[in-house]
Amino acid sequence: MRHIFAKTAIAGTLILGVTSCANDLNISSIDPQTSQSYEDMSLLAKVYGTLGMTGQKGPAGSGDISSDEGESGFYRTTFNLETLPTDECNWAWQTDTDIPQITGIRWNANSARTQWAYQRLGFNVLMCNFYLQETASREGESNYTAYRAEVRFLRALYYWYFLDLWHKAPFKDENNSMTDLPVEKVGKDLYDWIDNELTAIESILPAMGTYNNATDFGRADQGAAFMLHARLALNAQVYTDGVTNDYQKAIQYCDKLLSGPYSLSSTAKTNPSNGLTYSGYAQLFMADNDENTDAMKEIIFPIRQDGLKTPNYSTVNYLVSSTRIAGMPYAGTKNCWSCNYARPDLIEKFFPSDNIPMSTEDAPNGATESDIIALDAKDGSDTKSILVAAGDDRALFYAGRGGGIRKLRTDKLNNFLDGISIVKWQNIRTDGKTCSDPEFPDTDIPLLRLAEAYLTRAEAKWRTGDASAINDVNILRARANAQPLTKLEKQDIIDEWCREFYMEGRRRSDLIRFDMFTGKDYVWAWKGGIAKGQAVDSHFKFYPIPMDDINNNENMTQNAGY
Amino acid sequence: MMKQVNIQFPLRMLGLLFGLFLSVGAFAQIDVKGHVKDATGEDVIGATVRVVGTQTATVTDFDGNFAIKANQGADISISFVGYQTVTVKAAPTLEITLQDDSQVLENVVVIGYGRAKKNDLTGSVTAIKPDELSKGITNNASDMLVGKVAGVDVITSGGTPGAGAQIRIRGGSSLNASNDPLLVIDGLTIDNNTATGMSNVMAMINPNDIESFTVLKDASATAIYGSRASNGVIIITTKKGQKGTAPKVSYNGDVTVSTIAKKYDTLDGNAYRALVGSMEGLDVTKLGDANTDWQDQIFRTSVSTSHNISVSGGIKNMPYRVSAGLNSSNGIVKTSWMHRTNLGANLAPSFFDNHLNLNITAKYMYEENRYADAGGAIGSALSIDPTRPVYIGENDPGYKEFGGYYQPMVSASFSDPSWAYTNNSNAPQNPLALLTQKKTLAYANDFTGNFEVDYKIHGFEDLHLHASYGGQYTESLQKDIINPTSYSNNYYGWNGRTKFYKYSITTNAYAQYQKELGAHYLDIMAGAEESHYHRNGWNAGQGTDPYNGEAYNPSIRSEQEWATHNTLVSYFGRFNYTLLERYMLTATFRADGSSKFSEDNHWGYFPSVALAWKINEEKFMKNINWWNEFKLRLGWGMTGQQDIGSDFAYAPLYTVSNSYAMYPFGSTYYNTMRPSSYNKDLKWETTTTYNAGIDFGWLNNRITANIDGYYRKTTDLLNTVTIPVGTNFGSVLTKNIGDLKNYGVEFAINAKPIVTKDFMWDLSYNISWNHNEITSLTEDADDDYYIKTGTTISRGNSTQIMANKVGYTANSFFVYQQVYDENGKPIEGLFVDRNADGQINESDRYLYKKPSADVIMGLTTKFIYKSWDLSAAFHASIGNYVYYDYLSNKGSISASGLYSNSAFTNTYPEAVELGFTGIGTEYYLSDYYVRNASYVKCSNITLGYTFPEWLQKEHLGGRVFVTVQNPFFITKYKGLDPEVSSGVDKNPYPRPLSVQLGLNLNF
Repeated sequence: MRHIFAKTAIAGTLILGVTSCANDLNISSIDPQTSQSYEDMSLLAKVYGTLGMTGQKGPAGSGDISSDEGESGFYRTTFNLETLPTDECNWAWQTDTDIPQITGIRWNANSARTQWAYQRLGFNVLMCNFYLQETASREGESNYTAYRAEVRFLRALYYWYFLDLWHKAPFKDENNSMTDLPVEKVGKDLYDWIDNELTAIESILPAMGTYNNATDFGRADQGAAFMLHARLALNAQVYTDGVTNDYQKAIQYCDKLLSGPYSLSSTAKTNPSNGLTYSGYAQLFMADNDENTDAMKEIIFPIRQDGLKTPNYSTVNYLVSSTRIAGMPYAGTKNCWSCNYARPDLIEKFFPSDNIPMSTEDAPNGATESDIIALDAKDGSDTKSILVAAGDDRALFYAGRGGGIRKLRTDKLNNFLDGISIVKWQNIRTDGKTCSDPEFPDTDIPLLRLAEAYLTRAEAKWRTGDASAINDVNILRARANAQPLTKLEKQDIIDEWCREFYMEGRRRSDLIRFDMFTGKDYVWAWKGGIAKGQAVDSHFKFYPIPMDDINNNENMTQNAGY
Repeated sequence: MMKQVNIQFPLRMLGLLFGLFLSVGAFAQIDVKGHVKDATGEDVIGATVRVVGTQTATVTDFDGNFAIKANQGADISISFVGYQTVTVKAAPTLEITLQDDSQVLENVVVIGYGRAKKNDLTGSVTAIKPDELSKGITNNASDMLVGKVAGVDVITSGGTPGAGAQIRIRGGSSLNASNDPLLVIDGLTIDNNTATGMSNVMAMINPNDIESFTVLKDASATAIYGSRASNGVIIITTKKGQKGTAPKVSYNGDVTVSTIAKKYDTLDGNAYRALVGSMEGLDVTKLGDANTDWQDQIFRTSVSTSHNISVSGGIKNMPYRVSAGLNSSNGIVKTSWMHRTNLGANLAPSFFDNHLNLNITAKYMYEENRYADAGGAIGSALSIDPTRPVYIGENDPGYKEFGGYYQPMVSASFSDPSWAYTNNSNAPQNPLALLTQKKTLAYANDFTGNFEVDYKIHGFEDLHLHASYGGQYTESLQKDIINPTSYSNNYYGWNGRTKFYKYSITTNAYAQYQKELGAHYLDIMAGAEESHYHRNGWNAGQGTDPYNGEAYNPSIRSEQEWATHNTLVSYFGRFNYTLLERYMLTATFRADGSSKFSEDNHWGYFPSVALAWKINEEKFMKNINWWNEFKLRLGWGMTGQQDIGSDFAYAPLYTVSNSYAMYPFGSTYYNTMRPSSYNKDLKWETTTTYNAGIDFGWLNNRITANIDGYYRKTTDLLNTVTIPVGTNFGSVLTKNIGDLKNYGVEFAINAKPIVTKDFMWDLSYNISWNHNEITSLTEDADDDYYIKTGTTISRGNSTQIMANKVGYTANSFFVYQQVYDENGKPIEGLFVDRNADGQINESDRYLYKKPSADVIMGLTTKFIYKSWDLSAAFHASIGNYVYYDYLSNKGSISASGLYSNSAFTNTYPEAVELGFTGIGTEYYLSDYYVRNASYVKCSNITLGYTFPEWLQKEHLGGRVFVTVQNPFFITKYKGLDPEVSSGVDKNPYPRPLSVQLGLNLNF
């Protein structure tokens, strides 16, 4: 009997032996692409990178936001909300998600595109807060004082977008923990916070123009904060529901910028490989705008882009590809999406009597790019001819035969050729060299540029009755080789904003300041979803808080009218 | 050796033939009368009584009696399913007692960590043996389960050679976690992550080696597997040799011809020219003059073969079995094929008078695949301009860049100035060029082995100890070589490698004590297990600029390497108690520790209890002879789910970017690092199951049936939800919120309606009904709260057409309600204003139908007449709906819909008739596209001929057969095939119609 127990004991030990202890459960990740800590510059690059990138794998594959990654970027989401509903452009593929609602100003609280922008901005703010928390102990260390102030600028920028688009923000700062629910900051509250925050960092940020060079191009210095501050101040009446009037503040910041190290890009250059001459204005939106010092001098704060190292579908690739159709000459990308085309109202800013030169006959079958270029020149419908006809370097349109013949206006909204093509954003270098990638452009986005200071000061002066306002407008017109204005009235200013800044993601904001976005004062093609346009209700001035956030965050309340 | 056999064999045949002639009338015949009963004294009805070596046979009558004529001294064999066959010498009166065949599956089934007599089971367990006569074409273990088990829904994943299947047991219990059942092969739990380059997770088992499947359905059966058992368990046991038997060689070979059953309906060149000609704003002269059927270019009739050989026997106390299989499958989409070799070996020696038993199982698999991008090719074939020829020629300008294939193009600017054109990215691609210019080859090796020791203690035989050590090792390499003249990688081409490597190790040990004490029977088991799973891999590749030899967009190995692992530590036990052979209690308990959760949440506890009552053993039923089984089962138990996709979702980590997602300051580019979203509170999903069942057996089990009802509730549902903005590093997070319930009824019956000496009819039928409903989704959202989910559709922007909402079945379609005109035709973009607020928007969408079936059925019928067998298997699905993506993808019969970006796109007659133009609406979100896809399918029909007995006596047994797979189906659904596991019918690889000729030989 004894040896039975002995055997049992031995076997029992064996059983316990093969199954070792529960400590084996405390294992950690072995994935070489993840780590438990971060590298300093990599975290800062991520905070900045959320301006122009959508995730950790280019062009897509590891998105920050769990929706269609190509649609999730900061620039694309905010551009769409600021531009697609306006008189500037239309999106041909009306069957795309939420497009009829956004282009026709008919959205509601379930709007997918509204949610994409809201989530992206929220994510970017969270990254800023995280950076500020992680580096709190390094305040005062060389570089970190600047890094931290720059990150605070980026956060102020994102809160500005919240304020502009929703009139409120789900607010958190570096004093909150990650899981804290954001609180609602509305209107004047949020305005004051951004105003104070910008004031606070302006004295810490490196001086204007510090980063306006090949070494640090892409970082935010004082100039960026001044420009954003001026923009904020110009819109004070809208943002604070009429409580605050800050036009003088806007003028002061513009004065600082206009006496700073920046200058307008105004030297024309000829591309040796295609023989075309590009105006100073056109160069701002070309592939080498981060090397061309003339263009760089005007760019206060860019979103950096490179076809090889930062490919993504949400920033400049979006602007270049969406405005091109296969067969268009000088497309600059092999992937032409044929989406965004000009609404007639944009063309009318340059051709008030609709006399833009257009091709009326299709290219013959099998026509090559050079055939089309020759035919367009003959028709006088190429960009060069249009610029001449408009008498304005900013009329960067194409109405030739490439991809098919275009209409100026349409009563049926489902074809890219239902409008004139916009070629302001280009993936072509002024120096004639080849761009780095056949699909993804190299062009940086001039998110803040000096021309805004001129127009902001002009508008602020006009609103305060200062007759010198017209001078600033005419400086911009002179740079564009356009005739100077002789008078400056409301319509002239809002139109000049369009001529100078169309397709730069701010049109809705400008129209709201002039109370022309909603209501019946200004009706453009397809406003309200019908061909001739119609008035829309004033609650569309601000976007709705996405339903998910109303459900998930008890602190958030819905905007009126939704 | 071979030569000898060749000479000997015909001689023996000759002798046999002579023998037959000589035997005629040589012996006097006598009348044999007999009675057949079983060990308990019950009469055996329907047993086959046969005079060995003749065609003379009969069956026993209702009282177990028979009468037959036989030569004096002849052998008479008596056989009946479930009993060992008895052979006796002919005599005027015979009294025969049949013994239970304990090897027969019907009586002993494999359960978790042990075996049990089927009669003693308390839980819902279905064991099936692959039906050799009606198995159909089985390239894969899961093919054998289609329609065979009540409550088990198997949807094969289409025609890709060697592809696996989606298996759902009693509906899905999870939303975001896996709904796949746990797979246990020869005692080893299998990691269900399929390796790149391996056709499916079960590929390492040769279907010919499978002895049995055991499907554990209710929690009292599955709870012993704890945290991985919520979706049921499938235990596969492979064949073994038998002690002390001579070597038996078995060969199975077949050849299969497959073809596409039905093509998609598209416009041909003439019809397309007519359509374009009728369309305002389109120029018909831009079309070509060809009439190309692009589908004919990509589909083919293919021939596949397989050969399997096994040798089994027993050298004294060491049964062995070795097997080899070669499977060469060619797909019906051009260029796709799979070659697989399976080797298997099993040794089960016993020592010390059966006290020490070893069981060693080893399986090796080598597989080569050439994958075709079938979805891409079919999508292109349905879209590309049918007025163009397939091939234009390299000499035509622009076509050199595409290897001479027709392809819409745009002008290019590469460093090679002579490469003047490239693909038009938004035009359809040439589908044949896609198949031929992209070569994806994969090579996979898999080794799976398990070593088990079972020791009955000398002098204390009631206790035995069992330990096993098993593992799986898989490695694969996939090569992707894409031609520079391709559409996808024009000019630069691509040469890539993907490496996948995984291993898992499981060790377990348990002790089992079994004791009978008078009316009491005890069976107690306790043990522990540890498993470790590891996976890693990398990929690398590059395009190359042919002009200057520079790499283009290289995928850098160091940036593409990945690795992950997880560990599971478990303790488990089972207590079985039987009183008076009729009252049974089973209780199990498992504690699982998982590394997938933070330290505070490592452990989960999974108990179960079940009761059974064998009513037929009660006195009042004992003398009802024709009623053999009447058992009531009741069970309750809890199981878990830990398969949440990520091994470290609870831990804060940083993810580094690759070289294509950097950000520059000045001219210095930095890799970025992103903190990953994480949830430190993640824990188990828990499913509680209640089950009640009754088992019946009548007429000596000629009719058996069972019925089960169940209710399952999953709590702490792992659910990926949109989070409040600004509360984690992402927009969604996986959390334990929500509840889900499933309830249903299953019924299965097997009957042999006709059993005569020459003719037997066997019929199996099962039906099950399941209801799935989400009962809670998130803490305090309003009633309208929903979460979009499921496969994306072709239209929109990664648009998901399904949603989860409280009160509805998981993955219900989330659509607008279509408005129809007076002729019943849908009006484009006109939807019902369901909330009557005067506008049509997202708030008007509603949940309508779902992809999962309400009722599934399986039917197998089998006729055996003398040496001939004819069988057919059917399966049916009722109440399953499919989003008709095929049609909704083409709702733009307009100038810009047919011609955009300088390229024409083909369409379908059905789309032309519908006439949607794609103006300003999300027309594709209509319930019009949600179609009833209920079906009855004939899985296969098989006709076989088994070699006659005289040949078997000469040690050559065998069978030849012909099988038709997927001969027909009945459905209202208009698409190619209503069986769509994802619920979105998006150009899947079509299931082929196949004819197989096969041969089995046993000698």
